[in-house]
Amino acid sequence: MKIILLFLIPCLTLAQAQGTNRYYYKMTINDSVAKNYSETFMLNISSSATEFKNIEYLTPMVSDVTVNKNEGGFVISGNSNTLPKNFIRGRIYRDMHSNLFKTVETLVIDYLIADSIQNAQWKILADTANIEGLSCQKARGFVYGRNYTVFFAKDIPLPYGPWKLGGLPGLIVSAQDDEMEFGFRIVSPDKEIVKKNNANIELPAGVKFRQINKYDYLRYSRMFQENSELYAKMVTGGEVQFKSRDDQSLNIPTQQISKRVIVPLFCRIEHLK
Amino acid sequence: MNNSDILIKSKNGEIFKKLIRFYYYQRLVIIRFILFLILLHFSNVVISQIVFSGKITNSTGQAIASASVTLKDSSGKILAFNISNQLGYYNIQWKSPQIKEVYFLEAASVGYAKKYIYVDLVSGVFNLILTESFTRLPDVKVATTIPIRKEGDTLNYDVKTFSASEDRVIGDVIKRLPGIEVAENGQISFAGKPINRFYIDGDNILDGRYNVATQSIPNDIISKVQILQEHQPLKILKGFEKSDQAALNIVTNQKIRGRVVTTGDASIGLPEVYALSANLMLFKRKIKYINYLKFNNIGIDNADDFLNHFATSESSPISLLNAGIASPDIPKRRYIFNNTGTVTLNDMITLKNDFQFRLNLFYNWDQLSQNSINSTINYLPTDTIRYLESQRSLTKKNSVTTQLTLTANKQNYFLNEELNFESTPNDIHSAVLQNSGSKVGQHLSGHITSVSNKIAILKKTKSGLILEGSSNINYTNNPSTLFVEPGVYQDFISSSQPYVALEQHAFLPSLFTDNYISTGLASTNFQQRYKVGFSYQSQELNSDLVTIEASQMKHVLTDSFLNNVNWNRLKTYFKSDFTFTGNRIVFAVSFPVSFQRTNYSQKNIIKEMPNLLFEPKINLKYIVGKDANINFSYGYENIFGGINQAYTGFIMRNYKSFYSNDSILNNSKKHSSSLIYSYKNILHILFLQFGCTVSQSENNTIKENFLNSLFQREKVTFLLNYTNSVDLYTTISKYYTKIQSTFTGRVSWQSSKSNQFQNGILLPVLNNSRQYSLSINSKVIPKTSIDYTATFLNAISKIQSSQGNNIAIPRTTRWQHRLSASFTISEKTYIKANAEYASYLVTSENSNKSSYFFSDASWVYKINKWHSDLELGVTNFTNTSNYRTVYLVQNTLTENVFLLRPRMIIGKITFRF
Repeated sequence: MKIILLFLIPCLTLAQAQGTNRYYYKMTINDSVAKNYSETFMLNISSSATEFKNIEYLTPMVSDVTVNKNEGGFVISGNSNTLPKNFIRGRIYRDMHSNLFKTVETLVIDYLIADSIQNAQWKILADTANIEGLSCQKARGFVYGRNYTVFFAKDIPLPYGPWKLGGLPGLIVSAQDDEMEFGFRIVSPDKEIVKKNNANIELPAGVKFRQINKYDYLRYSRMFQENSELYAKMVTGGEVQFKSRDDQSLNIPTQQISKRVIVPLFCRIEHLK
Repeated sequence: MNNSDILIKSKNGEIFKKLIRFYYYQRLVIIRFILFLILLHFSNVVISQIVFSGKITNSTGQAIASASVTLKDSSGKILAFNISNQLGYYNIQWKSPQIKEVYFLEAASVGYAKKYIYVDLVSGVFNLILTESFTRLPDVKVATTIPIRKEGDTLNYDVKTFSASEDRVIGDVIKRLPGIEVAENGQISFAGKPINRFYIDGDNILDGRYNVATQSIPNDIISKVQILQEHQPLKILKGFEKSDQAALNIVTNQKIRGRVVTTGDASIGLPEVYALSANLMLFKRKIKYINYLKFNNIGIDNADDFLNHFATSESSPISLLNAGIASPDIPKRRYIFNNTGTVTLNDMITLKNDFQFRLNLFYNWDQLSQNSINSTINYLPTDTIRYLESQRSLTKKNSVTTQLTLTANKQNYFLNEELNFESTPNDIHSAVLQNSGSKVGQHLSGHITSVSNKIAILKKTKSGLILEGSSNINYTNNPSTLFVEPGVYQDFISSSQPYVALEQHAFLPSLFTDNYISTGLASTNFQQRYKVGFSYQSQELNSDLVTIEASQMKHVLTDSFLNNVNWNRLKTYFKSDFTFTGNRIVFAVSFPVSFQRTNYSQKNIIKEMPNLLFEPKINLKYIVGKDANINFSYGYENIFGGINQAYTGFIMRNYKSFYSNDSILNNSKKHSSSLIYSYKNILHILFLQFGCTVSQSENNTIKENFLNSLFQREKVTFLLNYTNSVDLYTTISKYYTKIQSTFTGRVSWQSSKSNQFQNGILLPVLNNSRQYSLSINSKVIPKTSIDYTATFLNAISKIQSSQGNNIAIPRTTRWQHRLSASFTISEKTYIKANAEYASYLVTSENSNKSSYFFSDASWVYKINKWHSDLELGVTNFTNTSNYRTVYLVQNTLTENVFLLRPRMIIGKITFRF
């Protein structure tokens, strides 16, 4: 145990020295499915990449939902009581070397969706605000099919923000689309959460991900929504059963799951076509 | 068409005509082309695109990617920006440059120190090298403890950081904010200049009577205090007329908005003292009010709440008579024996279309008694004249002030209509014991009435032209009567009949109106404004002195004690103002030309005085850097005396002074210039200012004083004389976050040279004074807050007599220390203590020093459940019974001894719903 700790200490110091910074955001969804639904995300920023993911990302994947290989097929099981805790699983990486957004989505299997980085033509406005003690300036811009009104922190010279937003001379600390469907706001995290997650960013790569473009991913998620078992069979090549771990059927409507699954993409559907 | 065409087509003599036509045509083309080039050139200046580009590297030359590069103006506003790419290159394009102020490029990246360079508005390549720095980025939430933040031109002070447990009202906190000064009368200044607006959540409810807010709004319902620098209160004039004054805005807590806040307190104590107050407040977006009533006899002068800090001198009536009551330089609560009741209503409603209607009503009933001993010593080359008197006075006042206002303050329209009414009957009885042993009784009764109306309309046309109309009319009257008993100065008045009393009557109805129209045009770097208008003043001064005989027979004294002056002054003016705004310079000039005609008549003498006046003003502001600027200003004024210099008959101002004129008006030509350097660094919370003012006045008349040990007479005579003065000061204010303390220091030196004409001798008098002050507000010791102020003043006067030898005038030195502290004992209790020490030293042959010590303490128990406090306090622990002040003004040394309030024990309960 002591040896592990000794290994950990240089890792953490390294992370700090390289300037890895982390910020937490509360995302609020107000659409046809959810009213005032919110989840907390973290944004890790290093000099070569950023990572945006759910703070509960690590835990539920392991403990609540498991995908078991079973006689040539898969059983997807979860605890029906704890599963709805967080739906939004996608992780978004900004790879600065290849200038791409790499989104990891899990729809039975893990997909890696690469997309070029788009930056809005931001218009900086005169309004200022104090958000969580940070002195911020307002800006507006159109990106990924939506108009966003954002506030960025003038004292944090990081041109990034929640989700895929960025390109301003300061960290985006709050954002809201004109339809009021998706909103982000920086929050101060619980100490527990900070302890649980380490700040190193590992860019997704390798054979465990299936590379796909976002249009195909959207097609698959629709397929999953319409007939999840058929979809699973298609992607895994075997029979798939959806089953709750406590042997009750999963009482979450698949429609709701799939809706959530596509949330990290939440650009306008028209824009995707 | 070209030359060869012409030659071929026109052979028969037509060729010449065509050549000429062609010549003109070509010329026209060339002229048009040149014009086009000129236009192109101008458009280049006005709207061409400017590109800044370059590479961002670290000190070893490695490219820094994702660095943010911003183009900002001096207020920190982002105009354009770019993020450096993988190779460290950036490219900023800006389409609408405004040649306005200082611009700078700022490069920032995590792990590096911010770097900025000043740029002119010309495209160019700027490579920036950032140096490594491990400064931590601001954490979320941690930043809330930063006490001051700058957002554009606004400074935000966090109220909690600067509050102490003994603070009750927001005024207690404002006093402690670094960079802000609060005078004894409540006037708030920022960067050495008084504020021009006091807002509550952005609304102007009280105008200049903002003491009402600072003395009544609890500090814990205010979340922040904002200073809006260089604030132009009229939205329509933003970017059109520069303002060098700041405004203050207090922002209420979200929680209390829309809820009526009720506060109040009740005190009772020994010897026979009480105080009561009740206050209703509401701060909603559309309705705001502060309404309260206060009663007390513990020494709080409620009239101070109604002081109008924006009042101009024109509207205040001239007092011809007075009862000669002085005030010491210690807080009023120590020396006034009062009984006061006050009601005030301050209500504002926001109507449709952003029109705001406001009512401000103040009613104050006051009874003050004061006891003092006054001694005045005039040092003359041949003589030293002394007066000694002891005075007991009782003042009764009853005043009503009402103001109705309708305002609309919009981007392209402004309206302000203001109706004022004031009525103050007052009555002063005083009993004086002179050094000769004789007793004099004075009774001054008067009634000040004032009615005024102000209207101003501004409109912006589509082409950007601003049109303004303004009218202002004001009527005041203050009939007053001074009754003096027994019949003094019989030799001087030389009445045929002996008398037992004198009665001076005076009244001065006065009408003043000022009307103008103005127009102006503004571009980003040049503003022009023209104003044409007239002002008219019509006054009538009537006074007579009546002797009352033992038989109660009254005689009106004629000739030299009678006045009836009819006065009017018409001034037509044309004023043009220009402001040039350059890269780092703001240059403003004002050229007012006016023609003034003054007519006055008395005792069949009619006088007419036409004057053509030119009073230019210039102001130059140079921006030294991001946080500093230098301001130079020069002004010339030509000031003419008013009706109070026109009367020839004597007026008895008080029992010992008679005043008259030779009906000549003083004309003083004054040149004044000032140089001010000011530095504001918000990050390090440091405010620094250095100023120097020099002025010279040329006066064509002088006041001649005739002094004797019984009374004095004054008269104005022609004599060309000069007054010069130099004033130097430095103020510094610094807040240390680590020790939670503000240090404010001020050093000033003043020197003036003027002339006195006393008993027929002309005396040049040189005055020098030095003043040092230091104040510390600290919360460094846990659970304790300390406020300490020390002031030191030293004044010297010298008289140059005709023989060249100086007359010894004692120098006066004053020391003042004030210390107040509060100690939190538990969550529910705290103790506050207050100590003041003052000493005066007069250095002469027999130098005498007098020193005073005051201390107060109280114990407070909080009942949090009811938002209520119980307080038990003792004021003037040491029971100091009197206080002496010594002032030296020119060659006159004035000493006053005041009777003070005795020790008081007071129990108090405060509540809030």
